[in-house]
Amino acid sequence: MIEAEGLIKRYGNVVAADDVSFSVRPGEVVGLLGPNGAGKTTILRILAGILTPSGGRARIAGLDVREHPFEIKRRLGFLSGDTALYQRLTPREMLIYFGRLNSMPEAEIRARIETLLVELRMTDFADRRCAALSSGQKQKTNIARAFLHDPPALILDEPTVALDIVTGRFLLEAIGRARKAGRAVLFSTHVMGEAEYLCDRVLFLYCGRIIESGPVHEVCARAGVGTLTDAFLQRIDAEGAA
Amino acid sequence: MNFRIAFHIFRKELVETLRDKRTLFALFLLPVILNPLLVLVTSQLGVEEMKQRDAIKPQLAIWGPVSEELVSALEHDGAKVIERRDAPPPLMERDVEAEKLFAEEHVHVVVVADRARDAVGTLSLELLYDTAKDRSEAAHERVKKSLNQIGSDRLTALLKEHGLPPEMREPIHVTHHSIGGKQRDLVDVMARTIPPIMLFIIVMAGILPAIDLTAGEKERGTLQTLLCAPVRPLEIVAGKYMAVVAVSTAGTIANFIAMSLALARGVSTLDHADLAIGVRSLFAVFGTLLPAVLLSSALLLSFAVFARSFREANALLTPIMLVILVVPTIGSSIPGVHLSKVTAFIPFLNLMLLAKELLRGQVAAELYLAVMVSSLAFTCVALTFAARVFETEQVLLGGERPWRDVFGRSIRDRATPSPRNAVLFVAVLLVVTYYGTLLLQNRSLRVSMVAQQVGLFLLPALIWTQLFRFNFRATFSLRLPSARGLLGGVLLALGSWAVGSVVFLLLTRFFPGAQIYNDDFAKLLGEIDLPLGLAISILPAICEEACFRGVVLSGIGNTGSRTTAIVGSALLFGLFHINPYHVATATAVGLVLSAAALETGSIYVAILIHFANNGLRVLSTRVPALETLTNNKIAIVFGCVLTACGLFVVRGSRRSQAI
Repeated sequence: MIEAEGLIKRYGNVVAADDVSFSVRPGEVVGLLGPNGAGKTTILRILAGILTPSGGRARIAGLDVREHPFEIKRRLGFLSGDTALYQRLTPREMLIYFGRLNSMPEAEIRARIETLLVELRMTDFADRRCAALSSGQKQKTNIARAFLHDPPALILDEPTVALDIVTGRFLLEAIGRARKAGRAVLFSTHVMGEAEYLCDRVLFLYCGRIIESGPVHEVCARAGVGTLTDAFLQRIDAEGAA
Repeated sequence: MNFRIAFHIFRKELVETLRDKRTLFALFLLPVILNPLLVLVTSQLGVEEMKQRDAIKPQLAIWGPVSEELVSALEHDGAKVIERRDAPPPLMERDVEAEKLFAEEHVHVVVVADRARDAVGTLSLELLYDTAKDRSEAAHERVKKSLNQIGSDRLTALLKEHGLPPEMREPIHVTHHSIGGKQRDLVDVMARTIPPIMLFIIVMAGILPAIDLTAGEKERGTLQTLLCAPVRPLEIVAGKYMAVVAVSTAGTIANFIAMSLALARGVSTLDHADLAIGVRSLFAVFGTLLPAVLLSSALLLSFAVFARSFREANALLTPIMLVILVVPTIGSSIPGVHLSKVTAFIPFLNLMLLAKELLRGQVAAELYLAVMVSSLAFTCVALTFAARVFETEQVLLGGERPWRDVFGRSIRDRATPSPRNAVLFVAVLLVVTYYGTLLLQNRSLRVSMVAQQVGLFLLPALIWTQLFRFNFRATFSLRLPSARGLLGGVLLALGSWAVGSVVFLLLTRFFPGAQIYNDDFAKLLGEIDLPLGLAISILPAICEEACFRGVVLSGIGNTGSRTTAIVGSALLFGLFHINPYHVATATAVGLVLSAAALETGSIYVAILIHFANNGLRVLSTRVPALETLTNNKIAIVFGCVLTACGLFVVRGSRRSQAI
């Protein structure tokens, strides 16, 4: 469902992604883990069709992101910690707007919004301007936006950043539900606990390259440690020393 | 481009903008409050000042031998003599002495007489006053008036004394009468002042929304949110552009109404009711300057997007704003600069000059059209630039080198032009052909025709294709048609002249000028020799087709809509024929040419049809039977039937369905 094949992204002389290859199957949650500046956001933005790769291929639902940048966005829900909301619109208006941009029929937009408002417990603030919402309420609105067009693939870039524990947990539950619904989920995080709790597989990214990948228990076993945090730190140290 | 998506973006931007109190205040509330207030305050100050000037009693110092009779006459007129000296100070010290008196404000004017009356009885007086002091200047006017009157009365008395008629005071009696009167004077003042004010209002009204919808979005982090949705850069540009145009138009209207009402009120306060401002003239100016809204909105939008914050955008737009405002304002006020074939193509200055000359009621239709077309062409260029900017990820995501990303030469993997590139080509072509034809104006018909077709149509098309590295074969549809395509092409070549004839007949029913234009054109064609006639038949068929069925059609064809491609390229082809009657007939024939080229996938078919049309036109001026035939209604109907059959045959006849 989500595929990267030899992805390269250069900003002048800086290589943000260097020959990155992986895939995420339907019903699978894959975590992209790496220190700041490792290139996580760049890779996720390429997969979401926001950035153009300098080399390699990326596909969503079999469609090349470079050749079909608009079609892939219809099949993808993208959420990041810094995707902001329109402050002068209400969550309901914002969802209607994005439903229309996704070319959904009006009746379907209304029905889907009602479902999401109930599912994400947003009914009491659905008609309040986004400027007046709390961080948690804003992130719920963003989740609803990403889920609105019922995409088969989800890309989430540090979605729990700046969220309190309750909303963070709520988001993780939503990701779990997406997996059960057969969606392919790729998400990046700094919180190893989240990755251990959710991910079927993890990818360690360092200086734009994937230096480790596999199911959580295998990655831990290979490193000879008990937790993902230790495995991550050990691998990063090894790369730093090299 | 999906217009529905662009409309959704436009609607959302409009809602958001109208919910922004800052924008509402700056665009609507401020002018509505400030304009009347400003005019009321200034007009009241003006009235007060005028009253004070009228009420002033000049305080004089009189130096030198001035008769008591003159002093009494001045005092009788309201002046008060503060100081008297028998002799004036030496010439070198005179100004210093006077300045001392003016500084104390006791004296407004010094009347200096260096000597008593001469033998003839003439008294020479010098009035010293200070232009930097309002009272001194006003008092000077009063004293000057009084002295003129005293002199005149004295002369009348002398004439009477000598038994001569008082009319002898004026050996030549002159009266002044301006046929325009005060109204004309007012129009002249308006023509010089209102267009710059309107342009200022237009540009100012566009700045806030342009920044808010670009740099503002980046600052708030919502641009990335929008980019997550399946929208094309062109749709984002179109939606945002429409919103900026709508808001700045509304802001301009609000400003305009507030200013008009305030001015009307201000003028009436000054008790000059006869100088009422022509509302119709103001609306004409407003209508004329509307293209400035389109152009300035496109410019402001495309530059504001480079900024990462409101602050950056303000800094970036300030010089651009100055260029937009100052250059045309200064340019239009330079004596001798008027609307001409050259200035009609200078952005903003052309609109200012047009508005100015419209107010004076002296604009040629061709120049009006040239200004409008060139302004729209510049708007297209600015929008194309904006769309290019919106495609640049470094710009949208606030990267380090946005300018390099936009202006750097991009590697194209596209075989044919994009719709945007085609529109840009037309805008460039318009400027090239306009100035090119100006250069060819004084050449012979033979030279100018060949140079125009080859140099201004064919070469630009080839250079453009090479410059952007498009595939020549794909861009110019250099493919032989299928047998069916060729058959359809022959039918169209035989019949499509009738389409132009139908449009022409319709035009002559409503516009008698069409017949005159057609007769003049036929007369011109009738006077040319055979080689030139052949050239007129062949060259446009190749050169114009290279532009319009080559670069333009292949570019607009990339929108994915056949209708847009055919209608769009035909309209642009028609527009290049300049004369409104010729534009209509050429557009109609252009529809057939574009449909044939698109359906057969071959430019050769369009060249054949174009050649047949031109050839028939040239031949009919020499062969009377042909002329009779082409004017025959049955023949026209037959030609239309042939065209319909031709269009049916060519439909889907291309060898490969590449477009």
